[in-house]
Amino acid sequence: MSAQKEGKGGMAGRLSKLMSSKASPRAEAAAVAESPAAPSPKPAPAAFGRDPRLSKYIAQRVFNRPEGVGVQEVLRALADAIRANDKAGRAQLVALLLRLFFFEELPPEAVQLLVPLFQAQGKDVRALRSLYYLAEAYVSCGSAGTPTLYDPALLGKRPDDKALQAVLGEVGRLLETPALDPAVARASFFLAAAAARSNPAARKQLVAAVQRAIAEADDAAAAGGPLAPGKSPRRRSAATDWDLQHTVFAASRAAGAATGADEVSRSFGVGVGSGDAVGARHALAMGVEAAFRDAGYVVREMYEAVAEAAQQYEASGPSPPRMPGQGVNLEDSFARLYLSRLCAAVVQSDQSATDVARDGAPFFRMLCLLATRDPVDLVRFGAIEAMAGALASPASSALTAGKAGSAREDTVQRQRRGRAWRLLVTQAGVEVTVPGATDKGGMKLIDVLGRLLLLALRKTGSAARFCVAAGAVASLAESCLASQTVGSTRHGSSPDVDRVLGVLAAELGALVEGSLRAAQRCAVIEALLYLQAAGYATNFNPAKLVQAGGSGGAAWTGGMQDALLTAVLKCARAKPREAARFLGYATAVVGIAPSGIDLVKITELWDAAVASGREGREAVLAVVTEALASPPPPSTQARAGSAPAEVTRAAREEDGWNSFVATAAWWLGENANALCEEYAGRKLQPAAIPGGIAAASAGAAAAAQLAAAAAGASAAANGEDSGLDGGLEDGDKSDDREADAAAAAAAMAAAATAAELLQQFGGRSPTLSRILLALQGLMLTAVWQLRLAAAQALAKIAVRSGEPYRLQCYSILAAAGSSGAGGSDALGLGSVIRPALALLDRLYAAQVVLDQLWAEHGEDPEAWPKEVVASLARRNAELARQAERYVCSVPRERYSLLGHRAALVLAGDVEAGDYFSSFLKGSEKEEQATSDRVGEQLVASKSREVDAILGSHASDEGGSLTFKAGPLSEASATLDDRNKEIDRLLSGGAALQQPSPDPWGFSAATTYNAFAESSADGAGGTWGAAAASVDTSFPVAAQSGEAATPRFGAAAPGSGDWGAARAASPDASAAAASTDWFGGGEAAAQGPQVQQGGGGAAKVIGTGTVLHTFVGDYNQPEELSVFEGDKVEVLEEADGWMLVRDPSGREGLVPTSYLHLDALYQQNLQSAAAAEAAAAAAEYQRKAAGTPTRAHRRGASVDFGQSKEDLLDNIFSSYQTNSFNLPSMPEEQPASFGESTSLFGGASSSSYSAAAGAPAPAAATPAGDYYSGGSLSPVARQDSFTGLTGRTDSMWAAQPLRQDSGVRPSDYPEAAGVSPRGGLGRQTSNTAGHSPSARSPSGAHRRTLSGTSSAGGGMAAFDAYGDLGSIPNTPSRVEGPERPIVAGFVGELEGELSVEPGDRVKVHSEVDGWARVIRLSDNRTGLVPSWAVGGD
Amino acid sequence: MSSGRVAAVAVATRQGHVVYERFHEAFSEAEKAEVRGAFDQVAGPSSGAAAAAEDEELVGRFRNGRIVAIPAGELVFYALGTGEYSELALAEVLRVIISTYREAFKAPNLTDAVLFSNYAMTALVVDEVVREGIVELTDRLSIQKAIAMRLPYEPPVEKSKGTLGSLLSKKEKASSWQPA
Repeated sequence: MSAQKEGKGGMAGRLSKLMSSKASPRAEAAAVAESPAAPSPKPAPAAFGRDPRLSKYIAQRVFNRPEGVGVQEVLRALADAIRANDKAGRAQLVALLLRLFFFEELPPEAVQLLVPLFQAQGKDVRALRSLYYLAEAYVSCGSAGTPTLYDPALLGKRPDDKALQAVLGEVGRLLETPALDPAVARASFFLAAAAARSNPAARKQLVAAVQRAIAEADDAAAAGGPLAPGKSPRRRSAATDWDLQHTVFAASRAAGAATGADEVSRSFGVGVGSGDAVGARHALAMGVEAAFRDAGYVVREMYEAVAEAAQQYEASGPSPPRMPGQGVNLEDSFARLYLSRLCAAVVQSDQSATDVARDGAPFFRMLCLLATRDPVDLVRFGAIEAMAGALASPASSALTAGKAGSAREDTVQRQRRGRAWRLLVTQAGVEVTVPGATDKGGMKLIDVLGRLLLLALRKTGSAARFCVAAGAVASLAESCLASQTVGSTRHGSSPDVDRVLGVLAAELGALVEGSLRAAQRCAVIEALLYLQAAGYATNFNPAKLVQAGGSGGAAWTGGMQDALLTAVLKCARAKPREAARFLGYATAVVGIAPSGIDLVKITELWDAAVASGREGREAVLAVVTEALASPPPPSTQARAGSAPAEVTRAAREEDGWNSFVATAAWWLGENANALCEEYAGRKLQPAAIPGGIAAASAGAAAAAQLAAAAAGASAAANGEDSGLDGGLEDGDKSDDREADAAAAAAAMAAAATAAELLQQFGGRSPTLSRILLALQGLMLTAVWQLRLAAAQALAKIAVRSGEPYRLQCYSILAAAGSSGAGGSDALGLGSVIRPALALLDRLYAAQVVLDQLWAEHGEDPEAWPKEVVASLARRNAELARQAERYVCSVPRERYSLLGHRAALVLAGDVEAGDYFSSFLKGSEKEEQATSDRVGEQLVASKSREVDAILGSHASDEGGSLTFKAGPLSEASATLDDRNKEIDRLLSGGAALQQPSPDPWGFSAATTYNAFAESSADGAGGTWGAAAASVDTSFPVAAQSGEAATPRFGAAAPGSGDWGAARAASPDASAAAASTDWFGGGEAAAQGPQVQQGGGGAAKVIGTGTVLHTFVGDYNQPEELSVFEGDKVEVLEEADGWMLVRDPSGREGLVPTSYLHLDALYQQNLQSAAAAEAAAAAAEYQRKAAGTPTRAHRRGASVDFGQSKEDLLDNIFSSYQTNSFNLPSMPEEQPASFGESTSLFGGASSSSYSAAAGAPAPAAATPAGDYYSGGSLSPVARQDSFTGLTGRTDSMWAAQPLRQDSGVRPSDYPEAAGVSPRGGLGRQTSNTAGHSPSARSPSGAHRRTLSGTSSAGGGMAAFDAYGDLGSIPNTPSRVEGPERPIVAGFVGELEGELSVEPGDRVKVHSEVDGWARVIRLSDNRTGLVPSWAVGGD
Repeated sequence: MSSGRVAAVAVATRQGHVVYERFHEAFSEAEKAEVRGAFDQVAGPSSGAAAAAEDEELVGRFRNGRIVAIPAGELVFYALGTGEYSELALAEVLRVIISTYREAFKAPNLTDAVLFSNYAMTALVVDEVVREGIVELTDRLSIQKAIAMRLPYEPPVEKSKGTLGSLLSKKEKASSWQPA
């Protein structure tokens, strides 16, 4: 060992001498090649390509060579030394081999150089040992030495095959050498074991060598004679040759060849009594494996030995057996540890042979002795852990990132734990004596264990012992938990055990708040989690976890968090009812150090919670939703003035937290629908009408004796509260006072149950609404990464949900997509939002077409023409494909994109019918089921969805619907394309088929396709034709092709589809609609058709005179600006607002108090009671229809005459029936309205047209509600509701909204809706709005704001203009004096009004230097700078 | 089936320079770096535990494995274990290594220079104590014997033999060398 004795300087000196003497590598290699004496295969010069270099520290410190040392230098010197082959060379050889020790990575040529040396250096133990070491380090893929630096491209994880073969060949040759020195044999076996770990062939070789060695030893023993051939000079057999046993067992273990079932493992018994304590340990370790496999076998083998060992142990403590070869050698502490595990494995097995009352008794006794009396902590706590059931599973033996084992493994382990727990409970009272504690005499086993654990936890000094003790407590609790969940019938506990665990829980609870290192704290928390899950009282909660984590700081590594997450997962699985708590822990764990979290684990945890049943599902939804909104944990914030490393770490944590939240958003997007059981197209089954409503309706109807009329009451207002009430009484001479009283009572009842109604029908999934709101909040307020994730999630939910959620998502997304100034994509989400909106537009358009078809072909899908059905199916398939391509998968078995009725129709389709039949069946089935299977379904459905994705393109049904351009460039899907489609659809199918450009690779259909586009020109007139054939009762103006060309903005997504929607509102003057509606709107508003239709539908109930000038909010298109003295016709009255028609024919809302009623046509007024009843009935109908929300604004009023199975169908069915009453728009408004909708794109533009076309059919229904509330913009009502819930969801308009929120609910004059409904009547999304914690998704609101904001020219002006523009509830009472304009101003942005000096205006309000004025000359309103307005 | 291994053993200075390390799992370079990082977090310069007392155990975790670190002299010894190698077992392993170094090098205060000047011993001790991740020899004499290419265990029966026994043994030994 001269090398060891040499000082550093000596080594370095010699090495540098060696190095300096070397010639160039090339010359060196050539020299090697020339040398005939070189015993090795000549290393080719090219092979010296890899040159791992030592780190600077080593190079400097050891070799004193700051320029670094490369392995090739050493190898060249080594080759030189080998070639020298003299004494000096041999001395150098050893020194050079030592140099190689420093290199963590050896190139293959090094090994090829070394292998021949095994023979050459056979006598030199130092060289030989070094050779073994180097070869071992090389073949085991592991590394030994110091970190080396080299080109990572050259990194090979596996040893070079050739080099490995050379090593293996050498090992095999050595092992076959007769009379091999046992020590050399030992080293060779270990080398073979090292190679065998990663090489199955080498493992076979090793096993063969082991068997050969055993056989040889046995042969030698059998031969017996002194002349017997054998490697050993001593006469021994394999059973007594302890060296051989030691080597063989150790090598088998090291190679991973010991399975517990192989021959060597099963012969472990011969070695346990070995005189060699380490050999006995290896034998016992193999016995543990065998005991896991076959405890009965181990009992048979070991009964005597263990019994004797226990006896001896009790008498004299750990010691070698009295007679070597008998009993068990317990000298070695690791051996005792293994013995305790072996005993535990035996007594905890499920074999009857291991019953502790009989054959298993000595094993349990031994285990107790080791656990209570062993002097070494390692053994004692190891035994306690083993007793608690913590036996290392194969899954935990590999260094994985907390990956749980297979389900089967998990179950087996839990069963074992359950048995361990029960055994412990039954044996807890066994008296044991502890030599040290003689004063107590015999103590109960569990008490001793408890005391030991408590001591270990309390006693500082050994963190390792602390961790192991905490782990043992965790193990106990986990076993208790396992016992509760596996074979629960037999779970039990004993007061003793409970007491001890209670004490331990209290101790741990106190400890977690103390100062501990992170790993110790982690162990404590783990134990506490299990204790809590097992039902033991602890004072631990997620807040404390956060606290504990926060104080841990940077020391928390991913491993600890993984461990805690694993614990949380196990607990949540075992206790689904408490899943919410444990999931809260999970979030807290993430918050400790988000960057170290394996997010897969988190989603697994959530999925597992979902799978655990209803409670778990609710809990996980709550937790995940909360995670979206929760602020970043403290770990993501660097303290001021902290070190750069700290700041970097905080940045990393923040990134990790964002990833976590993004994952949460993703997970919600993927799973929200399944969890809320909200599937697009699922048939809605509203619960029974609440009793209160029914009673109210009936009572009111009876009282007023106007039940029939009540059903169609036009005024759905609560007359009691209305300012119109007095007027009504005046006019209504036949009113019955008693009936009024009864009606008032009924109204009260109705009011009381309104909330119930909403809950029942509107809020059929409050959870989903909450999710939407959480996502919306995230999308608007978070960093871009999270915004994107939220937008994606919303898109998914939109596609997969039925109404109203789809519309909610739509408006949320649309608002976000046009959030910036001038409709730009300020949030940067266009890439997600545009395709999603385009798809949704198409979906709606398809539904409109479907609706037409429905009207055309009747209610019986069976009777539909086959081509139509096939075409519909193709369209549906195409939409599904697009959804899968751009948004998410929508498996046909679960979602019907086009609604329930589409599924009904498509069930009859030849190709896809099966799917839809199964969908229908499935949805029925799911309705019937108690629906606690979502969790399991979730897992199964995920795989199905994957299949669907994979299969959908393969089963392309022919690309039924091909858009001219991709969904991202929607502009070409223009209206006349749609016209043509409709035309063809209605004319029974045209032969004009042309393959369309298909940028996405969908093949074009050549079959009949009602939806396919055609290039046929001259379809201009078909628009009208289409409308006419849909509903020929309307006089439709003829139109030219040019007139039909829509003026959609090029960037408007989905305009084409909404063109189709417009096609379905056939009442509108086609010319007006297609030419002027979107641009000016006034033409449409004043179109004769409209007037005619309006006159026909809305009955005039009275006339009035305007008392004060009222300027409608230009953001509230439904408000009408009227002037003092105007004579107006009153169409409807509700809740402080009146729908009036002014002399020019425009209709709109005016506050009741601004009007003086001149005449009231009483026949149109119902008694208050009747109105109330009607309101209640209408409310029910509306809820039953699935909560009309934005659908109304979009153009749907609900047709109450139909069953309300599918909201969408209702929405669109209204096009035919309710198309008369097109309200005209206030003159001031279309301009701004048109502009603001343009932000939305064509979709909303046309939706407005559709909206306008869809007021109530005749006044027989209380459609005034829907007319005003539904079809007109409900912005104000959303805001007011937002105010009600106390949360302003809009960051833009937060301030003004908050200011208003206090007054709005009470004094805001609602245009529609009886007072119980209040704002809800016109609340577009009352579902969401009603849930107390929810914020209204205020897409429209945003839209308003975005329009306004652009007026201000930037987001900075949002607040101000939110105030100006979006406070529609301030009746615009302009009573001030006229003021002159003193300076000209040219309005550039929407909402601004161009004025010239000399114009006379009235100022409505002034904020932030902007005045909202009405110009008296033309009654236009808008914003002008305050400086432009002169004084009074 | 195997129930855990000592996945890594490392010796580093308190400043974090690796003096010797041995991995018993097939780690990639990146994983090795992670392991080193985890070690560093337990007792390295960035852990704030640099001033830890001599022979104090420091614990940590890496993935599902446990880490124990024991400072000794100017060095810190680390071990990473999985499965059955709990903190106590790892601490035991490290203590064996440390005490062997101290005895073999006759240096109560271990420094990197001591280890470097006895580097073969440094490496081979770890090799004998933790064979392929399995704890093998745990007492200094056996370790030194094994490093010297002798069997670590000599049956005590043979040692305790009386004169007759050793004579017999010698006779046996002699006879076995006769050509068969």
